[in-house]
Amino acid sequence: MSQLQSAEPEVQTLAPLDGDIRRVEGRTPWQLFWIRFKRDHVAMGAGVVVCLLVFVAVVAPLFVTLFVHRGPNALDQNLTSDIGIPILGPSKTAWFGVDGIGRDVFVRTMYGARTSLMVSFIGTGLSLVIGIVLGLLSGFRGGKIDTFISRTIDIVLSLPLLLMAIGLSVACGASIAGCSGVWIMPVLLGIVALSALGLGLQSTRRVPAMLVAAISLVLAVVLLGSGTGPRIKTGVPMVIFIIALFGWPYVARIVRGQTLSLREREFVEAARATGFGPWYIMLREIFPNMLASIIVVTTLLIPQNILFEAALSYLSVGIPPDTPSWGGMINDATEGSLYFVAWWMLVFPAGFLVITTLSFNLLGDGLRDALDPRAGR
Amino acid sequence: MLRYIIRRLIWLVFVLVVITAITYAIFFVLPGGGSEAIAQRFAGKAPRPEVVQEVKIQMGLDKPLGIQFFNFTKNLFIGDQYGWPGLGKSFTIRQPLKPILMERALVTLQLAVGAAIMWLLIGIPIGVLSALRPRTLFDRFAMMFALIGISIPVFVLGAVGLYAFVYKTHLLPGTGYKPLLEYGFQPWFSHFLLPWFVLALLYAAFYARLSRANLLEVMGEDFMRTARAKGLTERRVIVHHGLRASLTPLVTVFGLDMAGLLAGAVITERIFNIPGLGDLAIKSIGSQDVYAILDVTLIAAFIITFANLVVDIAYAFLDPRVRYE
Amino acid sequence: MKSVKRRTIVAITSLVVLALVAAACGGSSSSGSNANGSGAAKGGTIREELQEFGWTSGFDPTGEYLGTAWALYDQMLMRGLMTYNHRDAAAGGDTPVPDIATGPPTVSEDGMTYEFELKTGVMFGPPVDREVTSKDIAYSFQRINTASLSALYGNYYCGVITGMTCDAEKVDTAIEGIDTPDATHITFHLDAPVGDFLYRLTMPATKAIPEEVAKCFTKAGDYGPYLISSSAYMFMGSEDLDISSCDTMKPISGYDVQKGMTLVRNPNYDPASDSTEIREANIDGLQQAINTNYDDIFQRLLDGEIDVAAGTPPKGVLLKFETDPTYAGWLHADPGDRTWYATMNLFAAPFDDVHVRKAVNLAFNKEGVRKAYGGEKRGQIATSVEPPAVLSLSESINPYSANTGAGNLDAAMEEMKQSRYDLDKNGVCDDGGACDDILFLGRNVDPWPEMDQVALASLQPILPGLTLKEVDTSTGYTTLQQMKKLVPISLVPGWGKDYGSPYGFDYYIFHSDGIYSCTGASNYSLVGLTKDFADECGIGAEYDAYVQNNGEVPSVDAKMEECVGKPASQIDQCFAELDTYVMETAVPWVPWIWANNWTSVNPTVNQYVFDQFAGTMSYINSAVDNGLAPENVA
Repeated sequence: MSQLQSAEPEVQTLAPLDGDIRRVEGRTPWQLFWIRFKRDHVAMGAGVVVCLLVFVAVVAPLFVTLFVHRGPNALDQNLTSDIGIPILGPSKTAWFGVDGIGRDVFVRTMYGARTSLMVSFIGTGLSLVIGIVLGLLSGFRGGKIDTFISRTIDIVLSLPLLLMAIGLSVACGASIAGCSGVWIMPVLLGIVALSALGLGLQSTRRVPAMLVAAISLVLAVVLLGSGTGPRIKTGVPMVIFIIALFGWPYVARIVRGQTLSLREREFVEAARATGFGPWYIMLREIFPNMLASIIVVTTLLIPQNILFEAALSYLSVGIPPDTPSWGGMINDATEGSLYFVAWWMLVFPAGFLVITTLSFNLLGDGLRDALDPRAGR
Repeated sequence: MLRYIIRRLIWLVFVLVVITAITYAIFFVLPGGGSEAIAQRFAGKAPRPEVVQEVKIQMGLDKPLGIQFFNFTKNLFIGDQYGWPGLGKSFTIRQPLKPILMERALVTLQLAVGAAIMWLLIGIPIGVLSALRPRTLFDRFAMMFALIGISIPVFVLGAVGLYAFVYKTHLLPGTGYKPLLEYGFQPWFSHFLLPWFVLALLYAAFYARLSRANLLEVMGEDFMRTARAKGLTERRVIVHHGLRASLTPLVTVFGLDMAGLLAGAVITERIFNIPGLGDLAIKSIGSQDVYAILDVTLIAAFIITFANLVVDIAYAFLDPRVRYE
Repeated sequence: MKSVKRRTIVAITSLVVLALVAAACGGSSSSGSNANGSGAAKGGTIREELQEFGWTSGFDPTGEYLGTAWALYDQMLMRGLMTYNHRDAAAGGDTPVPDIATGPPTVSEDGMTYEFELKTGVMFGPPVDREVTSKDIAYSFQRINTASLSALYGNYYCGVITGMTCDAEKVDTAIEGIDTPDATHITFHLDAPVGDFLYRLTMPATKAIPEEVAKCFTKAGDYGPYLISSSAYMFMGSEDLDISSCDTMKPISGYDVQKGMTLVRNPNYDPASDSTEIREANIDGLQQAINTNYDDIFQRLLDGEIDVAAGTPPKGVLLKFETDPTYAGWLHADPGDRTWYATMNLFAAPFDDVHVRKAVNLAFNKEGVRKAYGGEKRGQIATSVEPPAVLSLSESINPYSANTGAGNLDAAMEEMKQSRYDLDKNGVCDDGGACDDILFLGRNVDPWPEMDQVALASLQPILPGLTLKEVDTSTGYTTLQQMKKLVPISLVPGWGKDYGSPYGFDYYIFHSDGIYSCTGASNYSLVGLTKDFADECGIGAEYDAYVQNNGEVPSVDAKMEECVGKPASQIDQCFAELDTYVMETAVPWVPWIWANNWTSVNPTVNQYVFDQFAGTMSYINSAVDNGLAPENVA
């Protein structure tokens, strides 16, 4: 850390592409990144806000227990008028006012942060895992696997996203038990088998790869045959599933592109010549080199997914009303145009939503600039 | 080139069939009830079994799922009794879907094109000006605006817009769609203004960022230096060389965004009561009007895939470095 | 809120209904309730907006099953043998009166033959332009009788009128039991006496339909966009319909299910053939436009851009109506003759224990739910199943009086302690297998999400395992109808009357006949389910478990037959006993409100009349003074 700080004065000539390259010798790319990023006050600020939001989301239950003493679904109809209109605005008792059945908007907004962040983090995480695996595989292996994966990406990307998501959600909502997810595990196992086969056949460790593939396939067949599998219930699991399902192609496409260019680079050639297997090359040579892009994509995917979740909840097909979510709260406020008479019901959840997505976007932008100085300022 | 186009067209057909299958799976297989449950919905509340059976027959739901799928796909390509392409009949309103879809597609097109014009007019100038004065106050504010635009959900923007311009101040008339030919320019325009603006704000931000980044990148390229070296004025350099080169990549994005909007302005159409394709899709999903959903999905997928194709081909003409075989 | 779908009433043969006929005939001859027949100014156009039509059968009168459609047919578009006077209950709005018929029919002594004489001068609108004859009435029955037209309430007639079976393959198949000796006479022969036959002749499916147009539309719902008027109003643009052949007919321009409909005066309508008591016909036109933005509909109402909006106003607007004197009189709350209730499934744990069901009745916060629904104007807190207008004794049936409305948790816990699912007898359902993860089915349509929460909050102290799941209205009903799903408890349903007889109200919701198939039950709680049917529908095990734990399954079938056989003067008392049994012994429901129907009108509507039968505003007898000529909104 101290090293970095001492380096600061020199950095001023650094950022533009045609800066003096000699002076940065000896620093790792990560150090360079950190130096650049620190100078971007907006992005730093956004980063702080993001950390705060995560903190809020994590401690919300504790905080509420300690200071507010009301759960997110605790209702108090004494705080609403005879016709079900909130009469208590932002005040000492309810910091953000109450909603149509007297629930505390502050508490719900805090819990909403939990829902929004959890759903988008997990959803984004899942799409990252799937996207990275398939992208690496596709880019590195090429051939039929590449064609197959790329075409799948094309098809998923040409589906009308929101309509499909609503459709899935409604379809699974039409049945109380949710949708049958019998096919999920077999498909995932199939992907594992495919990867193992695709990578293992030409590597030195052919036997374990074959073994992995065989076990996955057998498991897949058994699971499919027995008809057991997770059921996708509407609500949080459904939304996460939808985000992962429609998010991975974006990641996969980027990873594939990067892999394609990286695999021709000298250091990969060198590793190959030294006799390292494809697994090693992919994980130790290629993957670390695309980490920067993946981080940027992640920070930009998260706000998208937060908005996506909010949109689904707004359309009443996302998070169910008894789990507080910002989109659902905005829906509560706009349905019956309650926000005309209780502005706090719209302003607080919408404000938090916008601040969150904005912070992530600013952070992502800053990260991108810092990681890849050619792209921006 | 011709071979390439043909190959892409075959791919397009394949994609449509796959998407039909996926949509079928989502709406028929996933809910678990299948044809029976759907027929039940359209046979009234607490229906007699005979009525359910009759409904199934009339809607073609009495056949096995595979046959239903085959028939729909077949009709799509060779047409049905309502003409080509065969888009089927709506379960809820019991009318052929094709004219309805055409009419609604036209409405959505007006929404999308109007919004697109607006966002290009807002976004690109902001982006270009920012790129010309990087790191100035203007640039910072413009880019902040861009990010805010991306960060606000359309339903919040719509609600606030309606409140501010319609219900509170009455600067604009209410929501709805007033056809140009029937009502004249003024009602048509004033009803579209707010939805256009809301959509444009979301996209303009993105285009401002994109054009700024592209232009900044292009500014450093050799051919720009050459142009300057030739003694051209800075204005000429930027407008003739810089802009052209930097906006070409925007064509890709623009094509895809337009395509996405044609099917995906769902929330905007709902909020502003615009009877477009997205509105139809939401209604149909709510009532399990499966053919209507399939049709909208297919139209959307077709437009997106087709836009991809057009963009790729356009690239071949715009960018001499790209060659297809 | 969606308009209410009507349901069928099965053929009944009893003294009760014969008594009803007497009442009906009496009503028609003495309908002297004169609600200012000629005082209102003529002219103007009522402009209404709604989110969707929601037809069940494409607005084809033969199959259409939706209350709002019935209002339009009966008031505005179609005339049949019988109708109502399109006014509220106080003005006799529940009683059939002759329309095309010159007067009450001649009924044979055995009650099996009804002979009507028809008025002359009743004309079909353009482009048909001819007089309505008895053949046109007979033709509408032939349509009901045709299988492909799926008449959704065909069982009013099939199996009742001689020769009607509802499975004819062709529309032109004549019906044995309907004679049309000449243009102005029609006779119905029944298989057995049916007391409420006149009520059935008010139904839209029986109103005059011209064969020359309708013959081209032999599939359910197809005729809707081509509907030819026989009454005071018609679709705008009807005259442009080219009826020279089936191929030349294009949907009438004044109606588009996606956009709306405009009704204008039918130039062929002769008021002399009608009565102003039934149809004042003040307005020049009615526009019903589709607006998907519900909030916007009411904003436009406030701004005077439309005159009428049905349903629950958005809360902000409601606040204005309730508190701002400027808006006094805008909101009309009329008795909807409808009960909203929570249904509990007798065969789904833990509700297969009557103590649990009773505890729920005691704990349920009816007042809170009503508050979330919109307050006192929404209706009266229900204590029993039937709305007081249907059964006046209903208000005195109140077995859970410990729950004064806001829920009585102590009493509920006392009750719960007696349940076998309360293992440690602390008043909370805590038998893991039965008490965890109990599905509570709600609606995701405003204002249900709030109502669901309030109901849930009042029940969770005794049933902590309740898990709320919300679906759209249609999915909600479809799910409840499927026996196999065994939905434990749900706040989705409501039930409305067809006409003011307790029998009509109770029959399909508590009689075992209300379970017609494994996927179609309107008796959601499965009161009176039989072993055979349970086995057939795959819930035999649950049935056996119920019998093992509780003994016989409660049933009202026998009691209902008994009530039906009672003389008219004792019907109400008998049904009160039946309802008491339902509330105390079977306990399938928590009835929480006897609801009102809401209509919001702009002051431009200077005469507002409610149509009790249809449960909507009476467009035909109301008046508006906006001076507007009808515009095509389709």
